[in-house]
Amino acid sequence: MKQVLVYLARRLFTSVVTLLVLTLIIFTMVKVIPGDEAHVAAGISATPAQVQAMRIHLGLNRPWPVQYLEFLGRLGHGDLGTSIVSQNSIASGIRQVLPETIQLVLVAMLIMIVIALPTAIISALRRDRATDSALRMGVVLSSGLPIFWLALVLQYLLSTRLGWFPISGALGPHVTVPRATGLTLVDALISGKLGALVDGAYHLVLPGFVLALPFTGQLYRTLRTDMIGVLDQEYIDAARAKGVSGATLVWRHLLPNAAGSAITVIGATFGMMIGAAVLVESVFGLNGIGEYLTNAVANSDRFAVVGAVLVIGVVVVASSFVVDVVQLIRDPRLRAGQLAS
Amino acid sequence: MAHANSIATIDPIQAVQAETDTVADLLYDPLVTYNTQDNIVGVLAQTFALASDAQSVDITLRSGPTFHDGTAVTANDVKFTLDRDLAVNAGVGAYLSDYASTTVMSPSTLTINLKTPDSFFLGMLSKIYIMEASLVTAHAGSDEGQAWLQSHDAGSGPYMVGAENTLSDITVDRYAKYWNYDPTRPTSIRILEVDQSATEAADLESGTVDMALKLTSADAESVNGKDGITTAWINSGLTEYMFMNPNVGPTANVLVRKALQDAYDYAGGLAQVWDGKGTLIKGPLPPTLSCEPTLPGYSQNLTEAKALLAQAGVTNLHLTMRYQPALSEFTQEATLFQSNLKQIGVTLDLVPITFSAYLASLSNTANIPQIMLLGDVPRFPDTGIYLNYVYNSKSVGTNYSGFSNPQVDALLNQAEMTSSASTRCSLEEQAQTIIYNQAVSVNMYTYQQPVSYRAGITGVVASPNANPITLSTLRISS
Repeated sequence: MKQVLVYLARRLFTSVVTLLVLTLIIFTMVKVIPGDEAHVAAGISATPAQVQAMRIHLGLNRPWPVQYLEFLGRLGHGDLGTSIVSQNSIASGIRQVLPETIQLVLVAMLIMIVIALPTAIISALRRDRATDSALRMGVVLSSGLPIFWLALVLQYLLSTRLGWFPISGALGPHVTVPRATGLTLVDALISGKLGALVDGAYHLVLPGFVLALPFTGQLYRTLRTDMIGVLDQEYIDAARAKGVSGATLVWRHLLPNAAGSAITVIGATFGMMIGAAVLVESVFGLNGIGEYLTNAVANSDRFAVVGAVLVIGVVVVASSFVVDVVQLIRDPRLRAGQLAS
Repeated sequence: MAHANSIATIDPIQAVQAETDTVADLLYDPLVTYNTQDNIVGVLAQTFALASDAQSVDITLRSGPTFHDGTAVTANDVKFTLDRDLAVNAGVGAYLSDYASTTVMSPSTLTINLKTPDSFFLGMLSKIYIMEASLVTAHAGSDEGQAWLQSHDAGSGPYMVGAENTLSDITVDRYAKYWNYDPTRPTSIRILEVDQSATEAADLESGTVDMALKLTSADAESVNGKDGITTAWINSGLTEYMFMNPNVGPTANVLVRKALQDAYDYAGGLAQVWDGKGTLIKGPLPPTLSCEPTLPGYSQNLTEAKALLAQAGVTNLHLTMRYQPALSEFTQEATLFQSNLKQIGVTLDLVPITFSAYLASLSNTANIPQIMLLGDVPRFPDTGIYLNYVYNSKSVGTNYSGFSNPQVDALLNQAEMTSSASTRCSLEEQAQTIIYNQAVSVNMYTYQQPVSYRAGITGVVASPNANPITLSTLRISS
């Protein structure tokens, strides 16, 4: 038990150092990029005196290292600073939009698993046959599609032309849900608005599918390869010889033994999807953190950019940490290896 | 209504941003505004008068206007707003640099005192939206109420913020007790942020939205005529320029600047890049402004351009132009100019720049780009204000080229101190003639911006001081 705690503490420490390095990189990048936060905050028509007054007000007249340390000090209290465009708390702005992105990513991950899992099982069981080849080809094609292009094309075909899905937004024009968690579907459920729940889910299907598709290939390939490896094991032959049915073979022997790498892929995908959601949110008019980051960049709201990138970084590092812990709990071989190292 | 850009705040102090102004104009009233003839008319002000020395403004408020909680608008609210905007010293606070104080004589009469004579001040009051003093004071916090006003309103305008709003999805509801109530205004307006033009167009076609701003020209054309949708092409005076730094390098030579003016294919640029939806301009002024002297205008003349370069004794000229590639039209124009210059033996490098970096460069004339491609719209339909911002050497930060000419400065400063409109006009015409002869910029053309909307909506017209339209003019036809 002590070994486990030491391992977790070490892993946590690595995560914190990673985030500190991330803050330093983002902060430096923001400072190096040409531009003047004080002028943006003071407005396009501001006089030099007004810009200078704003520079002092924002503390931008102090040396960079001092600004960075002040930023870290605020960060320690959960304060990401104030937007120079809206003058509102960045943390509160991100809290407003992050649930929307997490909801989209969770739906996309669900769609990814729903597509990848059965196709990988079919491919593994019918290795090197026509079905397997066709599925592999389809997966390679879908993985290579640029998300932005895919979003625009599917939106045009399935929403604008055929009218099968809503074009944009999280809810229909006249549907409202009282905000509790910020997750539209959960809020609809809490408030007992089943119509809004269905409407919200309906709005998420197409963006979720678009976000899921390019990532589905990697999960499919990982699962297929691992399953083929498991199918080659002697205990599978033994199970078959004992007359274990196909379904039991898959659910009791194949999946549990081939899930290790897939869980790692799913964990890594969560972070990557948060980053990729920027493009999907932009096309489908969803007000998530990607949208927040895009607007911050467009408005040269540098503090908001730092805040948003940092939050995305925290989500990625946290998801990686959680996956490691899950793997540690799930796989005794891995646990023994990690603790020994 | 769908629009492409984000609304960072609805605090009217940030009305210098078009997106904030779009909403603030619905929620708040200013003291004065401009009518369609570009004359200043009262809104909350029943009467207003600039003193003959242009150093104060006397105002009598209209009786009847109330804030959205029913409290009457008073002179104290005007004083509070001006003092607060000056204290925040950002956004529209820049328009108050000559503001000294407000003397309240009665609940409906006041005098605004200025530090120096400023005949432009009255016009600039059209972007100072009056807010309810007691309400903002109650939520002032440590930032003069900026955080609270980001998503709440304290105005007396024709609309009030509705429930369940976010800045990307704002609904405003018609204020039933508005002093200038009009039942043909839409009962509510939902303002949705939709970033992609293609998505906006699709939303419009499907009926999800009734109006779309900031569509690309191609999308605006494609929806025009479909299912009762009309695309109006609005001329708000948005004009394109290539400003040349007249202080350093080859562009310090006026002959070189004139040669560059002669090289650009004005007619071709307007036709190819903007599909002909715009007008060529004849001088430094956008055509929506008045007081323009008779000037010859511009056209491509490569022979003359080569002759001017020879006269300047310049060979193998190598120049750099900065531009913002985010707008594809800018990229097309930049490459067009590059090929035009190649024809007269000039090499032009194109280097991207963000608007923020460009703004930062304006504080020092040596850092201002050699050539900068820029679209600019007059903030007010006032020639004096526009010229003063862009060409007066004291306007560091908005003088786009770093142009400095003592004669022009003297004329514009004199115009600023003159309360007589006709005298001001004469001074501004003289300044324009000098600016024209100094060839400060390649003055390209204005281009029109599309607004697509559904049948039944009226009042989609160019606004004198908003870009391109204000929503407060919208009406629903029977």
